[in-house]
This record gives sequence, structure tokens and C-alpha cells, in this order.
Amino acid sequence: MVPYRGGRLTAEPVADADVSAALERARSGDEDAFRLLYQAVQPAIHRYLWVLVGQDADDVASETWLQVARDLTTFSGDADGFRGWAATIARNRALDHVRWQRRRPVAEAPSEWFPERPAPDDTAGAAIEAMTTEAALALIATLPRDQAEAVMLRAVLGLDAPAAAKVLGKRPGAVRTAAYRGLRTLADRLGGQV
Amino acid sequence: MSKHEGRRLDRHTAERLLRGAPVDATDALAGLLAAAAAPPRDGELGGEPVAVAAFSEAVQRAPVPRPRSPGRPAKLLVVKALAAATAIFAVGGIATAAVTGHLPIPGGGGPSPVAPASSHSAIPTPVPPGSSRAPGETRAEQQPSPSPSLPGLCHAYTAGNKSEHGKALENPAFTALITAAGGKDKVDGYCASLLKDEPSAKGSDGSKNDGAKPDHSPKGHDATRTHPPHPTH
Repeated sequence: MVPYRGGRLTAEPVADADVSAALERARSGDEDAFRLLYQAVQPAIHRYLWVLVGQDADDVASETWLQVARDLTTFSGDADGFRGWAATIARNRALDHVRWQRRRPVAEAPSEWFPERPAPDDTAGAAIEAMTTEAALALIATLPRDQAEAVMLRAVLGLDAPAAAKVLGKRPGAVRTAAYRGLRTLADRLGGQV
Repeated sequence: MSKHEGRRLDRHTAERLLRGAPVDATDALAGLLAAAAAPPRDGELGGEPVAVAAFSEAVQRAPVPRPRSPGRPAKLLVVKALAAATAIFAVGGIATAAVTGHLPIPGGGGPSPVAPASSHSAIPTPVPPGSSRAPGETRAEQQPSPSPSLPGLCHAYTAGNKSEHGKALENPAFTALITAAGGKDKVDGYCASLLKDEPSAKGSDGSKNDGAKPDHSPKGHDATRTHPPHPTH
């Protein structure tokens, strides 16, 4: 089991300092620096999107990075800020994606759009047994959407509560509560399997 | 596995878990979060060539601060319609709408009040068409951009899973590509010829001869889907 630390992708760590340096270089057009940004952030973005839109995460992630590539010159901030910025773009693209799929009026509340996944009886069991990334994400995706998003933004994207709140357009306290409730539900489901 | 019977996760422990701080006695939950944040898997970085190509394309357009976007035609259509309807107030009204990002373009505002992702819609400076798409502005518009970055779209298309191509073409991002190719079933051949003529695998503004620079050539837009995940600089 890969030790969980730092709240973000752990094994191919790209240090925040490296990300910040890459941001500087990428803003001046350095392709390799942009490549590093992609490698540092894309896995977490992709997983966040998977929780939001399932198998369409590939498409939405592509759209996200096209926009990141295009708008990077407008971004200013550090590594944490970049994660939050990219997550915001990803979330907006996911909203667009769902909007496009369902062809609903734009004004509808987006919070209703990401359906919670049904929780198959064996989801928690699969997460325990193999604890694969897929199983873990599948279990997180069964949470109410606000909880799932809060958990993903904090535990996988590595955002703190205020940064996650900014992505979600909520107050930090609401995000803390949502993440806490999400973890508690996950713990109960995992514990219930023992 | 962890035993959670008899006690509930408290907020302090939850916060530590979310921050990745060491916690004891919540093995299963910590393990689940670790798995969710595990190292990149095969395929997760597969979009890198497309993303890098898009970045190169954007850089090529520097020092223009706003990379070319097909969002402009859609916005212009709206602007023109507004201008026709409200000729007297058009200038001031549209300028205001453009500045505030409140043009009635679906998706232009984004769901988050603080969303920097939608900031591009607030930039009044007209941007020329060319890059693949402005997702925040054009999702609902099905008309193709008159001058999309067809090579970029082809890269995005060919970089995807072959078996998913049919599905991918249902994405409105590829509307312009389908139109240019003359039909969904012709996209494969169209992209093959387009990309063949463009060894640098990059183009801007839909022109395959525009600004190709060998030193920026991507490391393969089709065959190479993954890269060493741990570059050092």
C-alpha cells in the first residue's frame, strides 16, 4: 500500500517548489515546464473528473488541459493555486459536459447535475480487498456529490478547505463539513465490511 | 482492516486524514484515501501530447495575450444579434456585457462565482478563432468555428482511444472537425492526411503550414501516449 501522505498523488511526487518553478517557465513558453505541470496535476484532475462524469473523464480532462494551455498566461499563483485553478476549469468543463449531455437549460442548479453513483453491494468490499485506485474512486463516487467533491479536492487534489471552497463556490466551513461527512460515511461503509 | 465499531470518526481525525497527516487506527479509510491518491496509472497521462501541442500552439501566438479561440465567432454572432436589436444602446450595452461576461452565452459564466476558468469570457478583447474550442463559451453552440485549429482537433482525436473514436466524435468539440472532414466517417482519413502534411504536428489557425517549427515537435501525437512520469529539470 502506498503510504498516504501530503494529500495528493504521492509516488511520482512533483514538489510544489518544482511546480511553482515550472509555472514560471511555462508562462514564458517553456514546453517542458508545461509538460511537468501536466504530469504533476493531470492524474488528480482526471480522478476528480471521473468522480464527476465517470467514463467521460478522458474527454473532459482533454478539454480542461486545452483551456489550461490556452489560458495559462492569465494565471498567476503558486503550485497550490494552480491546482485549484485547474480544478476549477475541470469542474466547469464537467458542468458543461453534463449540460451538453442533458441539454438542460443553463440556469438550472448545477448541484443537481452530477448524479451520485449507486453503491453496489460489493463496492466497499472491493475497495477493502484490493484498494485499487479504481475501487477507491468508485466508493467515493457513491457519496452525495458535495461530499465526494470535497473529499476529492482535499484528499486527492491536495487543496486546503479555503481553496476547495473557492473551487466549489462555497464557504470553507461548508466544505469542511461536507468532507467530514463524506469521510465518516466512507469509514462506516468500510467498517461495516469487517 | 480497520475496526470502526464503537466509535465515529471525529472531525480532528478527519481533518488530519484529508491533509494526509499520519493517523492511527483508521487504516481502512487512510488506505482508501491513499488509493484514491495513488501514483499515476497507465492511461492517466495519455493526453499529454495533445495538451502539450495545445500549449505550443498557444505559445506560438504570443505575445497576443489571448490565444485564438473559436468562442469569438459565437460571441460575435450574439453581439451582432444584440446590435441589430438594440442599435441605439448597442455600443455601451455590449461593451458592458462583454466586460462583465454577461453575454447570454450558455456556460459563459461557469458555475462558480470565483471561477477563473470562465475568466476568458470576461475579456473584452476580441480573440481570433483558431484553437480547438472555448469550452466555456461554445458548448451550446453547435455551429462549427469557421477557422478552428483542425490539426489540434485531429491530434485530440487521434490521441484518443481508437475504439472510442466514434464516441469521441459525439463530443461537440469535434463538430468543426467533422464538418471540415465532411462527415464522421471521413474524419479518420481527413486527419491522417492533415497530420501527414504537418510533420511538426502543430499548426495555428487551421493552417497546416503555419509556423511549423521542428524544435517544437511533439513526441508523437498518436503512438506515444505516455511519457516518463518523472521528468527532472
